[in-house]
Amino acid sequence: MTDMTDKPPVDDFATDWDHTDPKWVHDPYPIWDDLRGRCPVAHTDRYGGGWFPTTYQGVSAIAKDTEHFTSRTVVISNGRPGEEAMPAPIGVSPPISSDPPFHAIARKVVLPAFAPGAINGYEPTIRALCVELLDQMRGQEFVNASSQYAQYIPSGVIRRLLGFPEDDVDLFLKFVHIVLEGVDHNVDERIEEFAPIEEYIVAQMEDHMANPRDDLTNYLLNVEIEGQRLAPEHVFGTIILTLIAGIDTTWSALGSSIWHLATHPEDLARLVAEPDLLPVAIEEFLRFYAPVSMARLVKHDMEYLGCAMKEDDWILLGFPAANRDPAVFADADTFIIDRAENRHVAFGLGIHRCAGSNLARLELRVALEEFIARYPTFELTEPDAVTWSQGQVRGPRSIPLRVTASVARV
Amino acid sequence: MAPEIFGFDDLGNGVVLGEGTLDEAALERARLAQANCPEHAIFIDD
Repeated sequence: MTDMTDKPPVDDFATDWDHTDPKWVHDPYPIWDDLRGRCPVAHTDRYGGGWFPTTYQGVSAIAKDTEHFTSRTVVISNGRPGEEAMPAPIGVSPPISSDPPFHAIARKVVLPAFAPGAINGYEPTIRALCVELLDQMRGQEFVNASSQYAQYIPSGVIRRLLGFPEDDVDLFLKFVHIVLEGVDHNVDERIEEFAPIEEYIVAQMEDHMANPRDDLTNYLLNVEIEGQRLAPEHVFGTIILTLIAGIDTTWSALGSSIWHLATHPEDLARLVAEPDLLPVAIEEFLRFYAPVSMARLVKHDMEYLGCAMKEDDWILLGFPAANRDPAVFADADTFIIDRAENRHVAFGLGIHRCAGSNLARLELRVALEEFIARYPTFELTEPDAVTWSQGQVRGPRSIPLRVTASVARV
Repeated sequence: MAPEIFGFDDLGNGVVLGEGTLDEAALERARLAQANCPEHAIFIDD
């Protein structure tokens, strides 16, 4: 782990932003509100140069503009992707890293696997997983809702989806941490850290080829585009995408939701009294605590949103910042549990909009339903012990709670 | 939202169920769905 203190602290986020700066990691919202008021596109020389639009309009424009921006790499790091790292036209993790026209082909491969018709059947499995985790916490007055509950729900679901061994869930969580939180490491460290992930996935692909079963991995190995199977690196890339994008994101959204309820007893009481409100509340959790920011690279030197952008500059595509834009959301910085109109962009916008949103919403609903049913009251015991992940996926990694189990469920 | 009006195809893309003609109550729900669509992909002809 790179020591955070070896980087100079940020003085002004408008000209020197860093999404791994401790102040940003701790509480980014006041920083974004300030930038939105005075920039509204912030710049940095860190990571080789980058831009951070803070308005809904700016984020939306770039998300939908594949002519001026490429998705070759969607996670900001200290290095630029060389041509070797992204064999054209596949990209490292299709379809998220693919540009048109290949993107449409790669996306069409994954969409059927994550469509409501395919996903809704997982509800009993997800519910059983939640109940099992809650049963393991039975009798405990003090629990950690992140490390004992939230992190094991999407990781358990993705493991089943891919048909990977049950005992490997903790390994996935380690992989996710390496990919998403090691973004400020140097390029050599990154290559070294990625090697075991690559080895693991290749071994899983080989095992699935030798012992085929009915899961996403075998689907990807067998699916054909115009009579041709996918290239092995395409299958590999989509598996790593599923593993990374399917775990940290939903874990974060679920953790933030529980953290919110632990610190806002009036909202928890409302959900206990009105369980039917949960789907509406989930949309507000997603707006207010949107976990995911994406990245783009500028394709060529240009003037854009009033900024002199250079080829290969990073764009930090802050969907969470767009969700707090008062030009689009009334009382944007207020959490309104029954907000009726909520055009949030937590799942992104345009051709790269999250393919797993149906699964994420299902996991959130079931996991919150079961948690609240088991614990109709809970509170944060040590607010200062809550730690937030750094990088482009934001969520609480420790949520120490005192819980009171429902009499009906003890 | 409004599952009686909108469904999904095999790729998970939203589709309008039936002929898309709505009564007053359904129209209200369709307008709410429109106000919640982040892609501005719902159009209602009066």
